[in-house]
Amino acid sequence: MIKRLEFKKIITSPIVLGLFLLFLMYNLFLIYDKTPMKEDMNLLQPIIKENGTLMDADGRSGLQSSYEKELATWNKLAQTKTGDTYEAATDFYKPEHFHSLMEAKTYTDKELQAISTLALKETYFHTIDGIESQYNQLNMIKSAEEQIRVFGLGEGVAETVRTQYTQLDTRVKELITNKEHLHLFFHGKIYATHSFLFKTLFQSIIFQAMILIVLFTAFLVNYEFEQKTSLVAYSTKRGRHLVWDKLVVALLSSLVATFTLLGTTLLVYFLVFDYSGLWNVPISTGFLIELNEIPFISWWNFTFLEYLLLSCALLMICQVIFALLTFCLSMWIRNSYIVFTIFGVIFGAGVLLPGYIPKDNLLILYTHFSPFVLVMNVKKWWMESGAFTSFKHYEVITVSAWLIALLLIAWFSISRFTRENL
Amino acid sequence: MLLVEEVTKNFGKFTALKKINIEFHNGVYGLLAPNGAGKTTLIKMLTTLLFPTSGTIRYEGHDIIKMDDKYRELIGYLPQEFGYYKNYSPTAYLLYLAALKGIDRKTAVARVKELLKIVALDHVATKKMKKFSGGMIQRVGIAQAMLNDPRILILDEPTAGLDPKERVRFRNLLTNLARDRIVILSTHIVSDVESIANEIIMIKNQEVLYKDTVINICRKIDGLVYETEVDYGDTEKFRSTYLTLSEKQETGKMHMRFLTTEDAKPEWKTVHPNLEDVFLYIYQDEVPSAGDDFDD
Repeated sequence: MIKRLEFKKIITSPIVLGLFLLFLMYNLFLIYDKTPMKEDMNLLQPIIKENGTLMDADGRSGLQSSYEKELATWNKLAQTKTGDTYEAATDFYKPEHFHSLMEAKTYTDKELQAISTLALKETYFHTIDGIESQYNQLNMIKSAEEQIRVFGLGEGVAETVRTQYTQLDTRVKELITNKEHLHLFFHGKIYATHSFLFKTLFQSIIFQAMILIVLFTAFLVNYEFEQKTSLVAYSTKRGRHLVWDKLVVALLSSLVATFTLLGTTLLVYFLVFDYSGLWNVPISTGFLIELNEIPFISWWNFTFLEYLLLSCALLMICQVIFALLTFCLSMWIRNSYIVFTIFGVIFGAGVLLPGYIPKDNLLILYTHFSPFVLVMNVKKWWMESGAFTSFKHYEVITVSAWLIALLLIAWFSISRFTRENL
Repeated sequence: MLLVEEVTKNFGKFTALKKINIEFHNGVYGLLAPNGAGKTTLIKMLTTLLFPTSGTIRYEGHDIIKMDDKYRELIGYLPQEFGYYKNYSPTAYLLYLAALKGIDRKTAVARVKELLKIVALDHVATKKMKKFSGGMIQRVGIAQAMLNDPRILILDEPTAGLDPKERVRFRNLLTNLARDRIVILSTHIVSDVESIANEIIMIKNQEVLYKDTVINICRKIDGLVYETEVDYGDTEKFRSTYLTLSEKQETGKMHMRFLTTEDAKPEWKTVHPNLEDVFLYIYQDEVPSAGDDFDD
């Protein structure tokens, strides 16, 4: 009953409700803004249905014969219409004759759609070779040395980085053996779906949920003090044990708010963009590589669905950490606005701190094990993510350590509160 | 029985209360002292909001701090500054506090309805409190203190904001309640407690000065209180010579009530002292102390 009434305080707050709706609308706008590429992305589905996702020798041969057959059909049509033949479907789009063909309306819409699909199939087909050669040349040890040089890391730090990248090198070999990199997925260089989903959307949701959680946790914990009802509330039978209810409600509300924000955004995203047939594609596939040419090397062989679910879970745990941190601050500072500001300062300091640590001090690695740094790099969770955070269990260690530390501080703060003069 | 034993409360280097000993049985106790004397400190200790620096407070022999919720479920408390939620109706607010007091929803609904009737707020039971007057808010405060039918009712300046009619009604209510419970009423308004308190507790210099009936306390200055008439021109001189307790203009002269240990003059008329006379006498040299920063 008490928890229900505490929860009511949060959901009846106009600021919390207003911000929640505003954030949700912003996320939907981000998705809406990307909808023009939806039709093109959907052209991948018939290719997958026909040839599957794995582009090993068999898959590639199937795709090649299908492509060549369709190109031959297209050339037959082209010959009857203009007398031209094309060596590749993309040649059709060469500006010297494409515009005249369009003006003359030589081809029907259906025929144009067919060449467009064929050109895309061709792009996917030709990409495979590039991916295979890129992965075969991948050398994680060399990559580590390059980063050590770029960042000017001291010997102790460099040795740790080398150890991690040696493990990654083993993982790359395993990945190649598993052919994880050869699975078809939305072309990263064209659509950059990984960045859009895990950077743009996830990052937005992380900050939105964090703002809401810090606001309502500070608001809830300090409610009685700010409304001057603390003397009445804390002299009742429930008394100071009320803060336990507040802690539970703040944590549950954080999970509910994050789940609703994340769930609604992802639901709309996956309704708009058709991922059927792609859920079980390994997240380390080379097709995800975007314009920066950096491959996504996950520490484990996760499918896209597993990666998505794990990232959702990690995002929720991060929000629990932020709720706990806000709770601890609110137990010492009886003003929700000051708590909000101090949280912002701590967040900023957490992100900036590693930049001030000498490059030869191991502390530079330890300071990266913070939820603040963690949430700034969502699209590289569970993956190779640079010299400072490429540890196999980086995410798990970071959230576990912070959860345990904050739970202990919360418990200590509550114990102190039970002995505090009000 | 509620027993305060050798209780001292320090705030840093400042001592608010020093070795206080008080015994409370069923009845109304008027805690009478000027602002800053430590009334609220004592009350907050009785409600477990403050912890004694030394000494203990026991209820039926048990330390109230160790009793924890078992003790707090026995008390009803109206603080001096009674906060409320502006956008709540009195019903919603009282139901929230009833939940904190461990009262089940069904019982609470009936009890809230009954109490709002007692404090004459039943006609605004579902209206938002932001439009309530100070007196109405105070009545909500009184109702919440009685929600759990407390064995110990502790009220800090309960009549603030109440009009004379409401004050009378409130005093009658307390007299009825005090038959089978302890009612502790802290005030600096003498008339609030004079007629209804079984005992008055006066605190001075951080210690209990008197804990006695009104009659016995008044007896302390028996024979020292007089009334006389003074010409307007002599008023200032009179005031500086004697402790003036009250004065009013009457038939072209000043009618003075005053206290002195001097031998009575023929024109002075000896009168029976009342509690207000004692209060003014005891606290005549009282100046607001550092305790104001902490309570009252």
